[in-house]
Amino acid sequence: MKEMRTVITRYFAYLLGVIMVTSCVPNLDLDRLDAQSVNSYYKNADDANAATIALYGLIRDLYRDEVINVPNVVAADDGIPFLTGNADRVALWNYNITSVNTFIGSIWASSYTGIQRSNVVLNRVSPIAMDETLKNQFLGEARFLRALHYFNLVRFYGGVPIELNEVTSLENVALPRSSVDAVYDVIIADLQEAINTLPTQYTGTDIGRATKGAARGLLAKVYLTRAGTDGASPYWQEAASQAKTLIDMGIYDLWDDYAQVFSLQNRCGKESLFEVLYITNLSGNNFTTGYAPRGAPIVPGTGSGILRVSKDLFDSYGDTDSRKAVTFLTSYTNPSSGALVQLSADNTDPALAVSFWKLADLTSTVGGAGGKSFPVLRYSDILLIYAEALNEANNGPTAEAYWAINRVRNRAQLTSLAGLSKQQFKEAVLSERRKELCFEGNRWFDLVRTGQLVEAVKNENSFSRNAAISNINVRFPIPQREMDINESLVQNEGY
Amino acid sequence: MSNEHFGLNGNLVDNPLGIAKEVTDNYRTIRVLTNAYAEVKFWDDLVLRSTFGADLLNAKSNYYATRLIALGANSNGTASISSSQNVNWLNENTLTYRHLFADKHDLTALIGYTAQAYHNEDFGASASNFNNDFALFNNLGTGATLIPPTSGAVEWSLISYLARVNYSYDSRYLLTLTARSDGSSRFGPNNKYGFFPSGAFAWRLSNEPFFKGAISWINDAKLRVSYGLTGNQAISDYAYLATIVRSTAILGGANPSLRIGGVPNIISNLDLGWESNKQLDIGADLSFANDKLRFTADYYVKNTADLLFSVNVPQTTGYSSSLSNIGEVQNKGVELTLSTNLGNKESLQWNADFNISFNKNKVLRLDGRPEFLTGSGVSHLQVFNTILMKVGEPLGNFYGRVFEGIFQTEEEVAASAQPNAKPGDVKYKDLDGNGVINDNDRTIIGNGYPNYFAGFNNTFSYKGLELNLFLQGSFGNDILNYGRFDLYNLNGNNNQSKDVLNRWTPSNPSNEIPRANSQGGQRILSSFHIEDGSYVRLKNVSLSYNLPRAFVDRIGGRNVKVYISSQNLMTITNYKGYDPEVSRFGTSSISQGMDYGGYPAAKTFLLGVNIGL
Repeated sequence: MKEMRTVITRYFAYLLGVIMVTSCVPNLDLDRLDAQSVNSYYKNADDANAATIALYGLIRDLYRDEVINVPNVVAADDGIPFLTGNADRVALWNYNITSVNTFIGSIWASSYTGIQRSNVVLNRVSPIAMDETLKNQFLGEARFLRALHYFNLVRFYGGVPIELNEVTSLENVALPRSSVDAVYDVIIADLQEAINTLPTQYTGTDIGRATKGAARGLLAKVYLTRAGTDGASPYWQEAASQAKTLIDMGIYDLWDDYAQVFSLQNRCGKESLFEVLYITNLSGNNFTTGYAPRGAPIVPGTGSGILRVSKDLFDSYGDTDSRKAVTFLTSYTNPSSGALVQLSADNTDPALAVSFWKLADLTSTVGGAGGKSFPVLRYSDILLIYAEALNEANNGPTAEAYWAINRVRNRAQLTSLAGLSKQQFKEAVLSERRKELCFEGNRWFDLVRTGQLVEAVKNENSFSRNAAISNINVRFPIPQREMDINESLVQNEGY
Repeated sequence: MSNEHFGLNGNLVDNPLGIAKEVTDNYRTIRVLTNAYAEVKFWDDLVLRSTFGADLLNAKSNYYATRLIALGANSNGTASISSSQNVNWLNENTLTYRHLFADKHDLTALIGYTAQAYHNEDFGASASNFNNDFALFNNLGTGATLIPPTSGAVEWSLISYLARVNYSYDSRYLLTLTARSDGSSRFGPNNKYGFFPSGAFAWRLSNEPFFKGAISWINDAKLRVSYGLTGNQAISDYAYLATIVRSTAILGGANPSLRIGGVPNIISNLDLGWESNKQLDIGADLSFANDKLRFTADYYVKNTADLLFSVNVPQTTGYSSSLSNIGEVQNKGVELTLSTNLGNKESLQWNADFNISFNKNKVLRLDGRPEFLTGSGVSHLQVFNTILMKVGEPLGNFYGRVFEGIFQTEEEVAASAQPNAKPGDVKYKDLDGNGVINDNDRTIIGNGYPNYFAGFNNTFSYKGLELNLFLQGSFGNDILNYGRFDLYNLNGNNNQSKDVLNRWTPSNPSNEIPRANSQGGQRILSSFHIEDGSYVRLKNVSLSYNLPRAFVDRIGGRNVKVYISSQNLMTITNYKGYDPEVSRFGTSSISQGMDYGGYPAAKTFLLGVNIGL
């Protein structure tokens, strides 16, 4: 009996051993449980849509953070950074610019991250079997945003490396710089293709995606930039022609009142060609808390005073210019004491500084979470591009050119211009652009484009700026991080 | 000291007492370890053994910050809870044959299969804006602001096939041969398995007949040689595979809403595979005079190939880094240990262990590149790429400019390569002599690895009294003291080292500390930030007394010991940071010797009584 039991025990143990061995074969090909991997993604229209929406996720940060806008303000003549704040921001202002400046690193990194996202859409969405019109829209959006990123890059750095394919391995990733011309060829080809495939309008929750008008408007601006300071450039005519086609579409117009342009209810309204959207309190930008006077108790979390308005910009507005009161905060009432606080463009105290206010969302109750849009391209910008390009292409202002600039001026309660020379008209347009479009990421680009950067920066010398600027500063340095790991890059002259 | 928060430059800052009193932060775990095995003896020599173990871990953490401190003031109280559940099972199956042939040939042969898998799930939820602080984290639903919940799940698995032979002849010759093939879910489909053979041979000379009689004062002598490969898979799960992560966009015009987009988080690396260590070790163990003196010496050469390394990639790829197998590094060195056991139990006894290790490392190969810059940085300082990896050079080389003192006069500035500097500014060496100071003027300015490392442990005992002294030291290593970027920046925004009292002023021509400058403190790495990290530390000192037997018997215990001990009582170093022993990046072989105000090893004093019943 005992022997029997031993045998049974032995066989039972043996059986148990076999079960254990055979049941415990784990799978080594584990895929993630909490997210899809690239292997199982990009299979249908929903995936294609999500990949395209991610393009807008990136520009939300690009324009909310200080990447594109702040260098255009402080490295030009429109604003002064909080002088004891971020040293890299101050360095952009006084032209103590080095290749390790974090703003310069961020522009590069964010723009190329956006380009890669566009490349992913172009590579992965093309083969998906889905509605062709919708697919072409997604591809057009990817091309539009890729062009926008390259346009920012070429204006900040000059010729940059061109990557038009999704990077899927680490082979051959140390790209050399391409020429400025080659970068513009990419931008123009992308925008022309985008114009062909993008819809003119969207409805419902898709409003805000790139449209045909956005692509054409950006192309007009690209041509204008491409013409540079060359009076004989054929690009003036190209810019004028793109702007004219856009105006003739008849779907864009100016709001009657400048304040309406930036109101929450008019987001993506008739004047908007392309803007970056935010949601009050939930997912907002820092244009309210960040740019209010330092410590001002009128915004959630009190103002940070990141930037103040230069006296030069503030004084450039005439008294009757209706844009002045919309653009700037010049006084406020302290909500607890009831005292009126007068702000000034001279007072050295950042708590008393005139501040940029046109993108401030006073409905927000959460610090750093205003909901106003960042306007990337507006109809008034197109009108001014049109006016400038016509003046150059025709060696003096045409009736159409006057029509275009005066539409912008009249809306600002300013009188119409007439009887100007080519040079006078050119200066008038640039002055109008500054006032109409300030704090919208244009000023530094405009000054470089028109060859006036160095002079303008030297003229705006408040707060002991003494900018160490010279002709080399029309380009930013290539970020040192990139120089360090990519031997084929050549640094811009002077850095 | 009150627990009120206060303002600094318009920012609310909590004081430590406030944090201690007003933050509840606890973490509880329940852990179950189980193990079962079955063993089948086919014959006495052949045994099949199968074990199955499971480690089940349940953890929960609770957090609440009240409205009385800045952490919870703006949000009217912030609460969060999170929980995680882990299952980790291991199954090992081995078939072992062991036989002693002719009383002298001892053979053990083993084949085996082991499998291990891990599964983790976690979730978390947070809320803020509570009516009052009463419920703490116990009722998140009453918060007016509910923060989106989080959850996640992770798995990994590991399979190994192994074979091993141990053979010993007459306890004189010992031979071990092992072969194993390991497969890990963490690697790319092209390289999931790695093969790792090894062999070891030892010769116990002291068991040889010729030795036994001849050299009686050596009671044990052994020579060892081994060579083998081992694998390293210490990377995070799914690290080779690009997964789609969410990128939230906002669309919808005047009625905007969040739209969820998807984007690959990395560049996939389907070739990612095992890092392997190939190690040759030659050693000797000697024991003299009835073990009164023992000596161990080892010489080793360890080549680490296919290094798992997050290599910086050009940002033009859309990413900043990618995990890859790159290159090969070599460590070689000597380790010596000397132990003594002098005196005897009745009177004074002295046990001492002294060990010293000399290690030299060198980069042998770098994925086809001659060199690159890398190194984990301190992100908010934006100081990156502080390490130069270069073929033929050691690991851990700090790369930066050479600090040449402080400009004293306008004339000195004018004659220098920094024409925009002012007296009192930092002066850098113009290494390329081109009259411009920029990042081309960088060189190797230090190394984070020590030349040698030593430990000395002593125990003196006399009757019931015992004194233990443990000294340890590191010699010849440098530390990149990131704290100097903050504590010597002199821009008026934060606390400074008291050394800045000796900063440059026209009347105090310091050549060490630059002038105060609101726009100063540029974050440029130079030898100014590198310090000698050598130290000798009294790691542990303790004195204990075992109460006499007679006394212990009277109170009915087994033993009673009273002791006083102190850790880190004394450190001799020139390093100016808190602690030369701290490393910001842990055991990272790349980013050694970096410190950014890491929490120093505490100096502790302990007074205790040990009662055995």
